[in-house]
Amino acid sequence: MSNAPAYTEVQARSYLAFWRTPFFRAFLSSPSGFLALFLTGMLLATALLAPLVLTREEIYQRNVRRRLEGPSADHVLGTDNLGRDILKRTLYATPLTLQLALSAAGMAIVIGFAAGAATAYLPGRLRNMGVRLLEIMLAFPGILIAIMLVAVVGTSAEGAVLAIGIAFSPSLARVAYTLASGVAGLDYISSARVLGLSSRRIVFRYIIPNIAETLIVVSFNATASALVAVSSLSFLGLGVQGTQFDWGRLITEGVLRLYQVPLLALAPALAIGITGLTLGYLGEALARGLNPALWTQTAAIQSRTWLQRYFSSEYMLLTGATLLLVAFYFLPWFSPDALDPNRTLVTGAKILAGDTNLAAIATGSQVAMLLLRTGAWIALLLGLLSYFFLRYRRFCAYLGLICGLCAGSYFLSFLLADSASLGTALASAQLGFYLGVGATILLILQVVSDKSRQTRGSPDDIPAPSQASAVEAPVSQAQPLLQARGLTVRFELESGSISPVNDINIDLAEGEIVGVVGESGSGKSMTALALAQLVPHPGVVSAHYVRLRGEDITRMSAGQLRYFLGSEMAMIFQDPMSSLNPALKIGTQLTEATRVHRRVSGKALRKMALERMADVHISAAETRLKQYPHEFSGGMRQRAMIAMGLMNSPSLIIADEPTTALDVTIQAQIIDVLREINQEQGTTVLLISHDVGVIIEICSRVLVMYAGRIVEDVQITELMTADKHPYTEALIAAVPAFDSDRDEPLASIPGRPPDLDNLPSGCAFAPRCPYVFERCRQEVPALLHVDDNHRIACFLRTEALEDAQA
Amino acid sequence: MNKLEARDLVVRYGQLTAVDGVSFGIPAGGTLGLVGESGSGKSTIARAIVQLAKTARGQILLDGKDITYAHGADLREIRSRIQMIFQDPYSSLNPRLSVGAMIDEVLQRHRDLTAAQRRQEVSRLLEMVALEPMFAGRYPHQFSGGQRQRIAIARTLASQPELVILDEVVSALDVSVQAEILNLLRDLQREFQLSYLFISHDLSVVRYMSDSVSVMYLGQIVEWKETEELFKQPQHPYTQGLIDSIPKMIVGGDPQRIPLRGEIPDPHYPPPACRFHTRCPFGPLAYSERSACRERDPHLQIDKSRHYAACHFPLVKKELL
Repeated sequence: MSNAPAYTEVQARSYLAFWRTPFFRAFLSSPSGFLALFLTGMLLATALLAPLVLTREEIYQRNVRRRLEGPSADHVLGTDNLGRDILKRTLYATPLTLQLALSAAGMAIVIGFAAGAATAYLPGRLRNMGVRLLEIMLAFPGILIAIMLVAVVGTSAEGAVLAIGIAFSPSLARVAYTLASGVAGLDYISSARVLGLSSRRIVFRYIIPNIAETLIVVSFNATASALVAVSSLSFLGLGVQGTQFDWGRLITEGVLRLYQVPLLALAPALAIGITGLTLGYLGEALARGLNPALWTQTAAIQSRTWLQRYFSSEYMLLTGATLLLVAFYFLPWFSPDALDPNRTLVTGAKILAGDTNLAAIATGSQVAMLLLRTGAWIALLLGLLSYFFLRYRRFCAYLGLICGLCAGSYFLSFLLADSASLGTALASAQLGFYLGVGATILLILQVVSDKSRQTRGSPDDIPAPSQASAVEAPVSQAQPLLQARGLTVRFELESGSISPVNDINIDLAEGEIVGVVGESGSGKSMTALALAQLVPHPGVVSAHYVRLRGEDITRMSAGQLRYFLGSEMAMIFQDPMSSLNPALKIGTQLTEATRVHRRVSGKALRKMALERMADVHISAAETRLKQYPHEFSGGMRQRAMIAMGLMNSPSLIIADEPTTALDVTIQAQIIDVLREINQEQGTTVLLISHDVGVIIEICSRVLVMYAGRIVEDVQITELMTADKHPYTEALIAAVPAFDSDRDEPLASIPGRPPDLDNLPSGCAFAPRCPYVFERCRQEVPALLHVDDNHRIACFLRTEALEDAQA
Repeated sequence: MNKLEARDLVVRYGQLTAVDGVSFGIPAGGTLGLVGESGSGKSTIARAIVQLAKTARGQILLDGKDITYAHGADLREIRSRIQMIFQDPYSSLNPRLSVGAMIDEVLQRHRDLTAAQRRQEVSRLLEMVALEPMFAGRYPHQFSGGQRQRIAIARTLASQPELVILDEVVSALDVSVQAEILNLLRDLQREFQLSYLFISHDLSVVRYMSDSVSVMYLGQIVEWKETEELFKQPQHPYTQGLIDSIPKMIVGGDPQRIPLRGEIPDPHYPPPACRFHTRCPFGPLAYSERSACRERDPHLQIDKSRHYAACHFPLVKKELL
């Protein structure tokens, strides 16, 4: 025991370097972390250095001769009404503005969080009153309250801070209240109390860390709002007074000359925007840093360099494209010799099409500016595309970057040289433009071709069918209702691709009840979803074919599929509450599908619904049809779900753990309902369950799944007697039986199911199997017939047969 | 001698009486099973014992000492002696604490150990529940459901409890994992002479774990028996119905079973007299002469300090009816 590694030492070692701490790694796990760090650094540097570097003279000295100038080498962003440098004045206002915004936000946060948390712990009636009071205060816009408060406390910088601090606190209090009361009811808080931990410890180690993420994001957003609010008050003349000025006051000055020197108002406005963005990014990155789930999850991603990570993310593109757009679109506006912005796109297109006539009349800088804008639009377009086609994020990111760089490189050369030649302008911008167009076409082609592959499942997508599946027909005696061959579900993940369902064949005969059993993660639910074509994104289903009543549903169009499955197949899920629409009456939901699929009169529809309700033994059906799901108990809801499935007289019902969320007594009733439907209407049922007992009681045949494959397919009558797959044996033995010896330990299956991204070579069950031998670790056993009613994928059971055949 | 005894316990949530006059005893070093449908009040009893819910009336005795309204230092001492493990291993562990830290803080609170001793104790506890000591530095999200439940058990053992309340501890787990956890719990019970209150809706699991079983219906215990006796010869029709509802590994289902009709009524408005008479297959619904079930409460005429079945017409032998 003493040689056990002491975990605290291991941790301590990893804390030696700050940038290697889990917190910081998670902080930087997304590119916005880098951006936040960069922007925060810039902002702090500006706030600290501006008052030191810039002299009062530079800021306040008037120079009327050079008033209202555009951008030039002397004054990068031009001059104001009194000939003072706009950029310098904007930078100089940074510390004061930040100071006001931070103190206002700090006040709002302290008051808000304290009031919210206190409300959450008030006794019943007082708490209700507190919440109502908060809601009343929330009904008034914060800024209006602030203006009213300023009128009371007097117009000054301090007044504005006080007013905003008070006006913004109710919304923060509401958030804190919701979070605190939400966490207080959780199991781990209860368990902490049972463990006898002190209240202080519960608050500081259990409650605060678990709401800190949200609190931080909310606080930083509130700070950004406070910045806007303080600036607004100053803008209205209710904030900073006298010779002092913040960004809000600068905007006031600028608005008056908006049409002469737009930068006068835009520069401080942009400063407010960038600061807001910085606060948002910083809040998000800090929240990420506090999430231990990211401390380890990012470890795999960490192995790549930060540059790779940055380029692999959609964040880069979205922020990059937005910044490019803003910069490139607006900057030329302020250039004195730019073309009319409204004509730029048309003109740009003409120039690119080779209209030398137009090119000749425009100067190099004009064309450059114009093409920069076109480049920005392309970058933005790619950004939007990447947003919708998530799979191609990385691809789009690279393209967006190339376009941006092409356009940007020329922008730089334009800035460095006073003016540029028409030739260089055209060359570099055209390059960017054509790259962008080409890339967009490529992208669209790829997306289109992949879309079709995804739904159809191209031949090379499907793993070569195992020998057995080609030769061996699955166990079934009657006419097959459903036949699936080579059914595979694949997920492409960051860490590689996994197949929760791996090349399985299923045959269901008319009127059968077939069970699918296995541990969680065995792929049983995914099989059900794949058969109903409901696998969630980004899973991809492929199959040689899936025939239902002889028709291959993998070759149907989306519309055909919807209609066909709507009338032939019904699906019942584990949680009936989340599969019923809480906003619609049961009757409406029951009849909806039929109304769509068949043309039936309202009266006939109602009669049908009543009949189906009777089928599932819901009494007082007339009243029940008019009720909403929340008025039903869990068992009733599951009955209603079954009734809904029965409306179109489907030939197949797929029930995915339909009784897992229910009490045993209700489970027994639901099983009886399914059995009755099967017997009276001949409906085939595919019942997925982790409970072997349920399967044995109702099914005629069972498929046992392990790690995405079917390892056994057997008639129930043989299940209890014949030699079985070792996994099936273990599963059955693990159920505490009613006649077992209570003094003996329960049989269990040692080990855990394998990770799907790290399957052992050979039989997936080999590491847990008591009978394992050499061959099991090398080859994957095929699912072979041991007799007419029984297939097994296990060398222990099939090797003798193989020898006999050989 | 009972480790814990409840006498005529009543727990209310506002207008709802979740537990209504319940008495039971948990033997020292033994297990009392508590079964019933959801909404029967099983978990409320657990919460009342550990003072997560307020007891409205009645007494809870630990080793003969009244702890119903214990507070301050008394409560702290009781917290170390009575522990509880919750159903959902995904929500009962604080996601922000490493496994080592969450066990360590219990040691800090309840045991007088140095930092080095505590670190050793963390390793020892983890080994006791068959987890690697190196897992101490990991966080809950890195573990499977079964492993999390083991962590919860290790944390519980840290305070060296005498009584552990197990509230549906295996119902969120796969059967294979369930068997491992149950075996572990039984081994620990033997090793440390733990007393268990084992709450579950699954009768077959309760049968395996318990020395005696209390069956709850709508806030009351309707039958309390030695485990073997209860399963061989259930006397209350509700117990019989519960047993019949369990899948018996019989192909096509047990032909003899008598299923329970309907669902548990709204606990805000429990039926008068015998609360089960609205669903009972042997009560006034089936036999009109049995009007006593509608008129008199069977709980009034029994001695709750001994094993009992609260029924006017207890089942004698299944075949006779």
